[in-house]
Amino acid sequence: MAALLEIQNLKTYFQTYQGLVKAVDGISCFIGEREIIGLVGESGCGKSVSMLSIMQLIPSPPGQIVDGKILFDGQDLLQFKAKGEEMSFIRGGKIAMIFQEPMTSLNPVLTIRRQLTESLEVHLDMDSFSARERAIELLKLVGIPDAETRIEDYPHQFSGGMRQRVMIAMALSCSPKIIIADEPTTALDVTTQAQLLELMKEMVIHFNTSLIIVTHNLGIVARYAERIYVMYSGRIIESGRAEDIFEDPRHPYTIGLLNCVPRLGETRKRRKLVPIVGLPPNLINMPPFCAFLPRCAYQIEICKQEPWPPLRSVGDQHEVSCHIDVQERQ
Amino acid sequence: MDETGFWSSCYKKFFQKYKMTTYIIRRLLMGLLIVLIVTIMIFLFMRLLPGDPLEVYINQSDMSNLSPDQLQQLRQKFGLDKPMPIQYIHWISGVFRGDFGRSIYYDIQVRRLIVERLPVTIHLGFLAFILSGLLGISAGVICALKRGTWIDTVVTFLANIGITMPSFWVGIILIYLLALKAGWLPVHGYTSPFEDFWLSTKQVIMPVICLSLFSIASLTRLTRSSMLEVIKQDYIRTAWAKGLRERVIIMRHTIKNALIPVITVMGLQIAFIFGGSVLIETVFNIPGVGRLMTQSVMQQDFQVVQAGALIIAIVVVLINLIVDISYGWLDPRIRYE
Amino acid sequence: MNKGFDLEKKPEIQFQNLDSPKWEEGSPPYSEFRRIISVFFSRPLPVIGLFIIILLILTAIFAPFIAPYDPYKMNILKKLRPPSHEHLLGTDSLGRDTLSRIIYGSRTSVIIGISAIGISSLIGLSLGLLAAFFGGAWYHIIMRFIDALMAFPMLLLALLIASLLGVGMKNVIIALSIGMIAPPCRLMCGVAMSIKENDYILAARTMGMSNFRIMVEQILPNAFPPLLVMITIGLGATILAEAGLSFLGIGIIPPTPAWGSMVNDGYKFLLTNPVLSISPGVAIMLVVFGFNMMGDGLRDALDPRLRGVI
Repeated sequence: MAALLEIQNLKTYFQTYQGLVKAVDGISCFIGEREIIGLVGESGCGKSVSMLSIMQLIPSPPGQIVDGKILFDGQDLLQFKAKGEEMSFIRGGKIAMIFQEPMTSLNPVLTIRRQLTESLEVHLDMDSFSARERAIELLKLVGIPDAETRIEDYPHQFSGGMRQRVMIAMALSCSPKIIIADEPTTALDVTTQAQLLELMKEMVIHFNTSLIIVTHNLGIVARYAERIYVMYSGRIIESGRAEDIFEDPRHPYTIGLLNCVPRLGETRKRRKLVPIVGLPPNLINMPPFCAFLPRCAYQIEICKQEPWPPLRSVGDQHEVSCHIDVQERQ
Repeated sequence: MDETGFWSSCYKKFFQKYKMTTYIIRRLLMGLLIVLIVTIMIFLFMRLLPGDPLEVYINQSDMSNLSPDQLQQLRQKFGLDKPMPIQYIHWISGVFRGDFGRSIYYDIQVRRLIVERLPVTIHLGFLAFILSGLLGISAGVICALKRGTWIDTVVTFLANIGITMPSFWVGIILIYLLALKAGWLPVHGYTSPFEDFWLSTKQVIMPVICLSLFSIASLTRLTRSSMLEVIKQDYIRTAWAKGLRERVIIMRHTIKNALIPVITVMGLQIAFIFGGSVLIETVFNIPGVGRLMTQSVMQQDFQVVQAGALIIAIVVVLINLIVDISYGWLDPRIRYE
Repeated sequence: MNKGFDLEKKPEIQFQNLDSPKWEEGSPPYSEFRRIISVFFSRPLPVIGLFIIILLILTAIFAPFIAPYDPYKMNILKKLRPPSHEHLLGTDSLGRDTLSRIIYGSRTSVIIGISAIGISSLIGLSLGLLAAFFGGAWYHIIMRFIDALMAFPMLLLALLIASLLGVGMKNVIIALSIGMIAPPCRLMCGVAMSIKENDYILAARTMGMSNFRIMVEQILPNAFPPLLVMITIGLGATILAEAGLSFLGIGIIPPTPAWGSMVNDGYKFLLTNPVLSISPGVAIMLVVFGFNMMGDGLRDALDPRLRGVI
């Protein structure tokens, strides 16, 4: 299918007190219409930064997008200035984002109504009266009880799960083409997590939107994503359809990740949880060889000399960035 | 349109106003309590004076002329032989009736002195307060928005200097430059604006500048850093992510939040301005409550000192009350605690 | 679309044999103290502030060696001289050398500043700790008392106390100490309230730690960073207040050299000898500037989140 959004070789670096952090070091991916894709990786691997780069919300004194193209609707988004009119038009209207921390992501001194209607007024040119009506509808849609009265409330009067629902409503309000959900449920308890994810899936189908779910939780992507990208240290190391990733993982890191997930009903095999030893590399001081090497069980000589190779295809829509072919090693 | 929705939303808005009203009432009661404690403090303070308590009412030299019997009579007259709480109530009820006692030095009712001088101090203080608020906050916002540019560097540096300048010294320099050397403004004095507006304005310029200088500088610094803090917050990132324009984000989202700590500090500034008026009124020879206090302390005119302190403290509490209430309007979280 | 993955097909791996070429992990050794120092010294203003303060302290200590003349020595013949080679800042109405008086005035300011801040911080901290820790009635009483105290402008309070006690350095210190109780008290109370509910306090109590120990060992250290900043900036404020009091003739009175009273003395001769009034003011400004810049630098280095608060 034709790509709705395509990222080509995106690089985002941060200049810090301790050095240059290569948070995103050349990733390429795409998303099609009405697709749900997952972006998976540990904390600090660069997944949030890459999504913020799409929206050009990178804080600019330390951070900068140094290279790459982001093609959306036939245009390269990185050509536009971060604070310019074109990006303002796209943010919220065409690409919307849901953030991780519902407790701090809403403005405490404005009512929920104000925060919902302002994007409606800006993107859909609605007058305040109809915007208010639409906002109430949206709140009902995301499952907030007593929407007509609660709309005049302030964020601090809502619980975390409720606030995240409001964020989802805000993201959906202008019917964007893509919604990016950056760890939307990490800060919430498990029950709320499940509810919100189901809600997001319903909404995405209802509004015909594409969804990018960024998370470190494999369980979430297993259930909802059609395609998955696995990131490590600022690079995409494996990508493919969900079935392929889960049933036929090719990168040692992906294999290790899947081994970390505890599963029910395994007592007869007494399988121990096998963690991936070691820590992710320091993004300032990247070694000249494969960044995953210190934690990899499948090393061969070439891994110690050269950095990891670009993604190569190992199957239908399945790509891996590794020197060895795991299957052959069996 | 959904009828029930409309009514329940109206009810909601009313309920929020009600919360605001309870908040206002609570603050009012708190203010009254503080004023009460202030009166107790002043009362105890005056009673702590070494020497004969009669000195509060009567000149020392006069006292030496009187016989012990007459002194005792006077003591009874002023209620000094009664226990402390009774004396306190006696004094407070006098204050309620407007009787602040009699000045030893001027030999008139203290009430008259206060009525003559208080409007002057309030006139100057009010102007200084407004000026410092407007200038300080705007400068701070501009510096924060234009962070890193030369405007920011220069204004911030000026603000840093501004908080170091002793107000009376600035007054002296201004008098030297603008009045003595250049002759543009009158050296000192005060006229009511109702009598001669133009002269009054000319006389008032230098004192008000001196009174407000520190506040302007400190509010600039505070607003600037508060704005910079707010800009880094998650909800501002959300506002950007919604595709709002920069101007809207600043005006609607950032400033309201940034003003929250600033408004709190403005309440403190008023106490500072009144403190400054003690100095400035002396430098510029302005007949206000500040200068009255200084003179009365020197002259040991304790009734005046007592009354002046009470009045100033009450005005400060009142203005802080107003500031607190606007704080409640700005920050909805406060109304609910 | 509930996909049932057949996860048994995954290879089972053992993580062994992890040998990789030697590579120096990480960045240069990181220490909080180093970070604080490097942030403090990274911008020019705090460094200038520190320099000024060191200069001030040295001047105060070594005044007798630095000052060219005895600040008390009067010489009527040489009165009201403008700045010259002999007297760099001229002489005052009694023939005393202005420069020497300014140098000796630093002693007054330093002594009063340190004493007043020291006493007020001690009292303020204790009150704040008590109020927050014991809560309930204690909290309300102490907080209302502080509120009432804050209703009096500091200068007014100092006036009142001076009227009660009379003039002189000791009384100025007492007056300023009382006036400066409120900020550290509120600070300590705020810090203590926010920490009080933490579990480690509960754990300490369960272990049988006495209240006093909990307050001093657990809660108090958390207030050190903002307290340090507050003290630095408070020193500047105290010096300004003391100058104001001496100017009014209520604080330090002549012949003791104090910058505020020097401004007052010079006021009468403003037209002919402006240096008399202006130079002590410049000294005040420099010192307060030094304290403020140092305080700003400390605050940015220790905890930039305090920027809106202190």
